Amino acid sequence: MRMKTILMTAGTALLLFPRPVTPHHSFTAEYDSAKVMQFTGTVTKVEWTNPHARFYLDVKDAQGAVTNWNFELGSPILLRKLGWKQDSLKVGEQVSVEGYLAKDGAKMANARKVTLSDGRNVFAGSSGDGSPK
Amino acid sequence: MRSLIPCVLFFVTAAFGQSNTGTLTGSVSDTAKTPIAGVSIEARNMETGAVQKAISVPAGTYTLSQLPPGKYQVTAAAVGFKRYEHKDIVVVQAGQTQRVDIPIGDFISLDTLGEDRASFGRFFFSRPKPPEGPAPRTSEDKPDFSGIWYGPSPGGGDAPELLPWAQALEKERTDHNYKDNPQSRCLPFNVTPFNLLLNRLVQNKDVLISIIEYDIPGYRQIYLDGRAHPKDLEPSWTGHSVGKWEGDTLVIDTTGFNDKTWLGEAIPHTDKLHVTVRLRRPDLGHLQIETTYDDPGAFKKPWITKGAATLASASEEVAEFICNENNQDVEHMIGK
Repeated sequence: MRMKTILMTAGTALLLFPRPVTPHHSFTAEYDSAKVMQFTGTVTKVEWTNPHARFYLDVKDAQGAVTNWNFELGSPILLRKLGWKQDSLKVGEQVSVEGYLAKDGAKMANARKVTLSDGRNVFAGSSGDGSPK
Repeated sequence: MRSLIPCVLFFVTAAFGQSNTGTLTGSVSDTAKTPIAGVSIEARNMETGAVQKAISVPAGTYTLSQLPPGKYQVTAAAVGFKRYEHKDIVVVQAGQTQRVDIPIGDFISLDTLGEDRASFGRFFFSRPKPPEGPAPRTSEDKPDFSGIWYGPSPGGGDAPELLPWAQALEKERTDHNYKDNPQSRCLPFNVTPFNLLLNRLVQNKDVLISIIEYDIPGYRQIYLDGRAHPKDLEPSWTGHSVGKWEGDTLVIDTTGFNDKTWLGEAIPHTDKLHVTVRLRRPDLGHLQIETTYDDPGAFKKPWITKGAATLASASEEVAEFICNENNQDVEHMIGK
C-alpha cells in the first residue's frame, strides 16, 4: 500500500512536466506489458553500459535445461542517481526477477523487479523499495 | 491490454436544472488503475471542429463543462503515455453530464528499473533546495549563467498545434510505438541547449557553452560575440545558435536545423524550424527558460514552453553518456 502511494505520488507529479526525460526507446515497441514473467537463476554477467545497463541470468527449466536470459535496466546515469553502482549486482548471485518479455520472442526481458536471495530489491527507484538513497 | 478498453465506463447522468450546455467528466488511470494527473483531455465537436480541453487533477479526474450539445470525439494525451482515442462518439446533451473514464495506455518506459515513474519522481522531487542570493554578474555587467543546473522543471505549455500532415505523421509514429525514433538509434533528440538531468553552463563574453548530461551530442555552443548566422547554413541536427542581450534576458536564436529530430516523443518538424530561448537568472538559484518553437512548415502557430532550472551543488558532475556502446534495442523493436 505504501509502495502504491509512492508510485502514485511520483507518477502523478512526473506528469506535470511538459517534457520528462524521454527514455532511450519506446517500451511498447520492444516489450509486451501483458507478458510478465518470473525468473530465478544465477547472474552470469553485468553490463554497466549505455544506453541501458543489462544483466544476464542462467535460468534452469523444469527439465534441467539452462537458458541464458538478457535483462534490460535503465541507463547507468539514472541508476547512479538512485545510489546504485556497477557492483550492486554481482556475477554468481542468485536472484529472482520479474520482467516483461520481448515481443519478438528473443530471450530478453525488461526488468521491473530484481530481488536478491536475502529479500533486498536492487535498482529500485523508490526509497520504500530498498533504494540506497 | 486491449481487454481493458471495453472496461471504460460510459454512462449518462441526468442533471438538475435547465442548461443549454452539457458536461463531460471522468477520471484517468493507468494500467495499474493508478489515477494519473496532468493528462490533457480534448473534446472535439464533430460539427463545428471546436475543441475544448481540460487537464486531469491529482485525483485523476477531469471535467469539461459548458459544452454545446453535439457529437464529440474524445482524446487524451500525456507525455510518456500512449495517446488515447475514445472509440465511441460521445453525444453531449443540454443539461446532462456524460461520464467517460479513460484507461490511458503504457507509460513509455513502463516500470524499467531506473526509468520507472518512481525513479523519475525521485530525480525531480528530491533535488536540494537551491541557494539564495542575487544573481552573479559578469565584468561586462551582464547576468552570469555559469553553473551546474538541474534541468528545466515544469512551467507548463500546451502541446503544439500541428498542420494536418504533421498531425498525421505524429499519429503514425505513435501508432507504430515510436519504433523509428532517432533517439533509439542513439541520434540526437533535443533541439535546445538543455535537458532535464544536469546541464553545466560555462559563459564568457564571446560564448555560452552548455554541457548536457543526457543528450547527443552533449554540448551546445551559443555565440555571444555579435556574429550573425552564416549565409547558406547547411542543415544540421543542432543548428547554429547566436545570443543577444535584451536587458538582463539572453535571447538565444537557433536556426539551420535539419528535419530529422523528433520533438518530444513523436512531433515532426521541418528545416524551417526556428528555436528562440529566452534565458533569465532572476536570482542565484534559478534560471527561467522560455522556449519558442516556430516552424511554419509544421506548426499552425509558434509553440511556447516555459521551464525553470535550479542551481545544483558545485560538487555535482555531468556524467558521460556514450549511447551506442551497447545499444541492443533497435533490432528487437516492432511497430504496429
